Amino acid sequence: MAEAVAFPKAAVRPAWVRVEGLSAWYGRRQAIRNINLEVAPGKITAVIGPSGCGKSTLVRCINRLHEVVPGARVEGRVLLNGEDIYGPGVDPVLVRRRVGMVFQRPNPFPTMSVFENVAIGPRLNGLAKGAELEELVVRSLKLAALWDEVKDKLNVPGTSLSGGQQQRLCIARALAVNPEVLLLDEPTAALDPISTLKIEDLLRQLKAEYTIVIVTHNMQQAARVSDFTAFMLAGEDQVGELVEFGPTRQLFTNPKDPRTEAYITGRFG
Amino acid sequence: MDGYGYRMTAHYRRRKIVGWIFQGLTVLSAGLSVGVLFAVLGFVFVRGVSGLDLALLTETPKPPGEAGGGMANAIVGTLMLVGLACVFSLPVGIGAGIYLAEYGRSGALAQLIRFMADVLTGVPSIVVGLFAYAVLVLPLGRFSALAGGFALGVIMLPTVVRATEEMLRLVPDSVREAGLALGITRWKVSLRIVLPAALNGIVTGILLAVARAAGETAPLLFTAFGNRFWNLDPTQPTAALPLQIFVYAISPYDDWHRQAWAGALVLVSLVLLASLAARLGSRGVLSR
Repeated sequence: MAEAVAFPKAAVRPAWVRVEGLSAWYGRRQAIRNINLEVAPGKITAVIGPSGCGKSTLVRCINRLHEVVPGARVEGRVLLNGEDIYGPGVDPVLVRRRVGMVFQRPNPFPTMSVFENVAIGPRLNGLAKGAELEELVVRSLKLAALWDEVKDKLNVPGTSLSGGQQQRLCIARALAVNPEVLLLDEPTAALDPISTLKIEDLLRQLKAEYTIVIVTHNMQQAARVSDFTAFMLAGEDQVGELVEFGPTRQLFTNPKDPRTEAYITGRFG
Repeated sequence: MDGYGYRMTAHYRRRKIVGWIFQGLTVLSAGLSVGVLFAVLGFVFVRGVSGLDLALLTETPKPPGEAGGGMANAIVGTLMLVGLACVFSLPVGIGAGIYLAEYGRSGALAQLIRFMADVLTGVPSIVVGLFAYAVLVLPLGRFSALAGGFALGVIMLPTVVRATEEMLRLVPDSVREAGLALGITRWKVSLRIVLPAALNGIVTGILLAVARAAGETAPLLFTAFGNRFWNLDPTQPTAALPLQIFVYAISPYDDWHRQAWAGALVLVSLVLLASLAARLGSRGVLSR
């Protein structure tokens, strides 16, 4: 009986995500059209494609961050463990607690220490305080493979770390609110190759617990870390569409769509 | 090098001379601007320092015509008026700045508020004093520190609003998105993440507004009114440095003239101190 009670709410771990007929607009300009995608639990799904194909827009729809841009609008459904996050009465704030996000440029909160950067999420969301919060911060920093590098300087400003460390700090910050899904929007685009590899290793370690979607410019990165890959392309009307989606190995070795083949062999993009 | 046509031609020489003249004029203008400031400061210092004594800083005014006494009550009065002005203007001003930067953005209401704030900046301070007279002095039936603080608060308000907005807008949107992406509600993101990030700059703006308000005389003439005695009750007429300087300066007594200069020196020092603090604060922002 204790086990049944102790089982945390909404903890189908790892979680699954299904995108159904998703279209998104910025004002009058449509960014993506009719995307259908199944993000497998406990796997890493990469979204690749040339600039402007709507990759970022797609992932920003999965945590309802797209709609914070004035005039932005979404149609379609995104199911998180079977529940439509765009359903009536769903609070986008609560969706974002379950679907974490890491951005292209490391963006630690300015004027906050390393510790504060990780602690602020759980603190403001009322998840933990005091000793429990400290423990949670340490755990998150360890999960993000940053603890050993910052354990002696938890009080220095987060922005004083190196770029790669800042990005892992941002991952720790996202993990601290205990999300089920982790979205990463070109997380290594601003980093050097060694920092990039560290982040990729980290993602492989995290994927058992967290369902991961990573947007990347870099096809090698998609091939290295992901289990599934989605290839997106903007059509002649500049609206992004999903061209092909499948296991990464298959998509890279035996693409079904000639446009995918053209892209991965470097003929355009 | 001749083959490349780099020889000094008459045209080139002329261009160079014109350049020198223009640069010289700008240097002269810059020197004059700074020179005026130094002349004012130097003049106030030279005339004021001789009148500066302990009595000025610790005693209240003597009856007219009697030598001695000081402006201690006016110094405290100015601090109280500025404090009241902050009480009136900071919550509203910072709140409005947050609205403009975080919520209103380029909306019609935000544009209107911005326009009104800019208009308010240009309203002559004596008019603000009249306004305070009408809404506080007349209904309460007496001059008071409250009315004076209110008038100064109105003068500070647009500066506080715009400083808050400008500083908040310097915080990149990526920071806001990072906060929202953690499932933090929007108002908490604004208040607990964005505002702290901009706080140094906002404090700088507030200190500059305080410095300006502290030196205002006109809006206090028929609000705080002035007082020859100690007063810490905000509902009573209160002395203020600029008022005291004004009254003493137009008096026929030499000793009061001396004290007026010394008072001016104290006032300028207070204002400079606030500006200096603001500068140091803003340097803190930039170094981050």
